Amino acid sequence: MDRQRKNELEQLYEKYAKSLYYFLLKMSGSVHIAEDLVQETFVRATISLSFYKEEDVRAWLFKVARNTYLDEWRKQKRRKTIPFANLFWKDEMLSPYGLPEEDFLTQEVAEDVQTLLKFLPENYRTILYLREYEQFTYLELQEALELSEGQVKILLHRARKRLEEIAKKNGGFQHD
Amino acid sequence: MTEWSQENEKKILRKYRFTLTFRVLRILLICFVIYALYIAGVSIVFNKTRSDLKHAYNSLIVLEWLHPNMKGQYSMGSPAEITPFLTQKFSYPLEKQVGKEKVVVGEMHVEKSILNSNSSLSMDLLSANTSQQFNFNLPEDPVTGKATSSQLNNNVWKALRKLPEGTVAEMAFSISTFKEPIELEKMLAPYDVRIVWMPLYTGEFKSFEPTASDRSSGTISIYDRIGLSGGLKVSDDYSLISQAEEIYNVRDSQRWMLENMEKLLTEKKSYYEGFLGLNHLQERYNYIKKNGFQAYGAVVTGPTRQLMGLQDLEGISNEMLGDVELLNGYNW
Repeated sequence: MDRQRKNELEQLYEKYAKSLYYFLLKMSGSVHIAEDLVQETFVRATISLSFYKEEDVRAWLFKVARNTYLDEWRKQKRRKTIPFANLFWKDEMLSPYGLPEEDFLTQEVAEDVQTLLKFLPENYRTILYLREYEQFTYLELQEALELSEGQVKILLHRARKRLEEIAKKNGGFQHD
Repeated sequence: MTEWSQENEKKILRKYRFTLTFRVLRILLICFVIYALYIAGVSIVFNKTRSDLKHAYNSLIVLEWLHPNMKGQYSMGSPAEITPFLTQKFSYPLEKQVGKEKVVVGEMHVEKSILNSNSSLSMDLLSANTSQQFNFNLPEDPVTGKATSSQLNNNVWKALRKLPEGTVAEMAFSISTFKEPIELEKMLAPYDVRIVWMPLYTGEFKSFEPTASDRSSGTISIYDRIGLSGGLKVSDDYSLISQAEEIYNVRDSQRWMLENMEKLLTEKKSYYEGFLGLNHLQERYNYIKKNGFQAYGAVVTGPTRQLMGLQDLEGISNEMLGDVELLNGYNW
């Protein structure tokens, strides 16, 4: 890779590091894991540059970040089967299936939508986060999640409905 | 702390650069280790099987058949290498028998890849003189049966006369009729010379068209002819090669030649044509089996004074003088 290309990449990473960090923090629920996943996202993005075609850069980076999160989750799941593995890896990350609703019911207050997101499965959580917090267009969502336009709309609808159900169970959203 | 900061950004980018460099180095190291293990494995298998011996032996046979008085030396101890693409590379010295001693005239480089089409033999000769090829004139047109013109070369005898006593040389000549090698050997028996090679008629123009030939001034020369040498034989595992320096026993030389032809014919055509450069082997073999060995000349070596005696022989023509050595004739 030539120096100019390297500099361009680093500028790109500087631009999106913050958004990716918050996205991965929301997905993983851990500051340390989110930091690690951001740098892992950049490494993977650099290595798989040849696969990046004409897609939107932001959508592509979030796609890589999401896959990185899912891979990390699988890795952690495998580790749990190893005896005494917890002695070395202590960070717990949020599951792609979301927190169980029982946990939600025991919480005194659902602080805001961001907290409620934790109780959604990963695909609902991702699409809602990208749409509501990162202001992704439908086209960007298609690219980031590798879905068709119709699938994006259906998934978004279902995610909102599910979030509403969870919120209702807790007596509605709390607004600041 | 969940808030984003400049410090956070710097830390992540620093870790990213380090991880990327580390992974690139790790991949390079893994590639190197895999390459080293592969090369080690290939070399061990190669040294155990020594598959080069078979190719070396076959190249020695073809060398002797195609190049008058040219021999190679190859054995188990000869160095050979194998490349990562499984190409076997080796070389051996080329020698000529001049007088009683062998003279190194160059080197043969052999490259045998998996594909015969990418394999080659190349001769690296020390001087232009030794690359001189002897030409032999067919005594008659094989198709019409009409006798060809004999060209006498008095310059050869003049040159031999001028050479001081004690010199040895190699010399080639053609004869006016096809003769069985054993008859030709008898014909030369009264002269104190060594017969090292005889061009053989193997059905050219009758059974097949030779690749390179020349018809001019009533003579017919075939350039891709094969000839009878002292002969080579080998053990079943190719580890032990026996080589006759000259044609001591014609019947043995003929038998070994046929056995070697049969062995080569079990290989693919691309092997002996593409790699070894031996054309029309099947046709030649069939012709010899059916019609027997027919020689139409010889390459001999000996003291120049003895070679001069051959001038008295009836029916020899197209005489050519090869390499001359000044010293070793004293011990003849």
